Amino acid sequence: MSERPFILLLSLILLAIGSLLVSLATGSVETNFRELAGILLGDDQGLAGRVVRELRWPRAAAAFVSGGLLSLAGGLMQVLLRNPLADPYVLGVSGGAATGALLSLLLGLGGLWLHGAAFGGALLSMLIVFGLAHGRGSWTVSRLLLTGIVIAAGWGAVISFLLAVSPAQDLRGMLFWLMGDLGYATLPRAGSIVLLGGVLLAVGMGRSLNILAHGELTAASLGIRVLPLRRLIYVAASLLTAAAVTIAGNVGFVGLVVPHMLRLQGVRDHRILLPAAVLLGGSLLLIADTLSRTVLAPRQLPVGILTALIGVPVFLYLLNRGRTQYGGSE
Amino acid sequence: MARLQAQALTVRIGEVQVCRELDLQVREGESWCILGRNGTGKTTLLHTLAGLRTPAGGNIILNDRSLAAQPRRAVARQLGLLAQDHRDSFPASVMETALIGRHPFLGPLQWESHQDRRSARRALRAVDLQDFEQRNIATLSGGERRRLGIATLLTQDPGLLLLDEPTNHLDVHHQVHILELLQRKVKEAGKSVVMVMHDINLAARYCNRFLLLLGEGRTARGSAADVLTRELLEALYAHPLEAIAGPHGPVWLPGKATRPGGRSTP
Repeated sequence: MSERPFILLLSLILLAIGSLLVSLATGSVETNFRELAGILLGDDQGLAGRVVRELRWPRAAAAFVSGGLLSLAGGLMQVLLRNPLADPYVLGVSGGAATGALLSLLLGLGGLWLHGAAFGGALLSMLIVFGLAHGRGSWTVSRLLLTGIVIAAGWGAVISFLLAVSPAQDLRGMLFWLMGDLGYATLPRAGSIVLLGGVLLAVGMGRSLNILAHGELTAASLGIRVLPLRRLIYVAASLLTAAAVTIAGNVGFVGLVVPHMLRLQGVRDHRILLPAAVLLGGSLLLIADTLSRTVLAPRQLPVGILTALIGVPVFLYLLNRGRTQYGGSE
Repeated sequence: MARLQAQALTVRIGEVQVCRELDLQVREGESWCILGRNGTGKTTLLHTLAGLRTPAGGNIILNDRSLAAQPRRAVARQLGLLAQDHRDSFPASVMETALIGRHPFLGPLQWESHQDRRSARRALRAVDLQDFEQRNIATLSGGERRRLGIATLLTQDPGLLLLDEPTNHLDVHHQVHILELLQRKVKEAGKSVVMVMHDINLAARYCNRFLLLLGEGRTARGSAADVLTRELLEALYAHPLEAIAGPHGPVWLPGKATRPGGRSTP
């Protein structure tokens, strides 16, 4: 019982390292593992070295970090909303980010502007939902969920409007962003810091999250100050999501299913579940991104397509195997 | 010594006046039962006594210090609450669920020790769930989940136990088993219990103090001899009752509903 979490975390770390190496070695410029080892150890290796260092490494890091951010945010949202169907986007953070990103694409502003506009939109949406869900002091789950879903629907309309009025040559870039795309990703320095902070926070409040999953009354009677805790989870999950969509656009599916994949494996303690979700989600997105730039090479696909294509069968298999976890019979 | 003291406590919820200027002392070795009709605010009163609701007036003193002024974690080391129902949203094992009772005793980064596991295991044995440790709580029956809730409370092991209908969902054997367990905790370990019950007969058998919520803020309290009288109980439930001599004292049987507008029994 006590060794199992460590075996799990260790195997997930190995999975992450493995996916990273494969991702760095794969692409249009052939790189075998010996060359890769040389490059990683600091040899120049000419063109291959530059490709790995300047193109593949930032993109791989961006994939891993955004996958980790989304999985962590998803796990937190599920506890916050006491709903297994919650994902990082359910409360509208991604809608705000998408609106910001699409506006900047429409104005022809790329790079830092795009990232800044996406992050700004996400924060704006988070503040609107936070403010409106308050009502007269009550901050119930259903009120928060309804407010978030309605705001998300509002963003959806704005996004459709922007798509409708955008010139045809911008649409492709916009759709890629909406599906999640790492083609423009840079080394995610800020995102890594947010992710690290998020993991530390999640492990620190992990036991409280375990208890919150048994209901607010139980949590309150065990000495947890429920309202501050829920606000903290909300802000943390929103910031993690904002950081993720800023890096990679609206990558779907990862944030919803990765926490459940682990729950189906019998991982239920959030002190283990959340860091494990970061490793698994990061690896999943990294593998998906590697495939998205290789299966139809030289053509690149939005990574969001691949996350779902890999994730759906894996998830269904686990769900079918672990039937008892979600209330089925023994 | 009074473990919990309510001084001039006034509790309201919406339009319902639960109690007005109520003075109550719950001492070591006392087990109180709160009786009342549906919707008179028994649960609200229990939550107020647990410090989870602010009363409309008056003070609550927990172990000689104001309840409201104590940090929630400190309160949770002194009193525990069994909620009326359980709202689990994610899978967890029986053992993990019992262990959450240790939360108020552990630092933020501290993990449950072998000692904590031992107390959880002891609590599970006490409620007859010793073979269920690794079971997922989603697969438990209503009665088993209820006993697990009680095991969590026993793992928390506070001096004052507040229980909202502890015998909900339990079969006759487990009702008696749990109430005897609580009675032992009160008699042998000097705990104090306050519970909400609907079964007057079980309450009379296992509790030694009674608080009747008569509606509109009126209350009556005291020993069985003081308050479990036909007159008061009939007023309490607005229903005729019959006392029959039983092996543990009078047994109360409900009569036919005869009052105008009341439903008649089939």
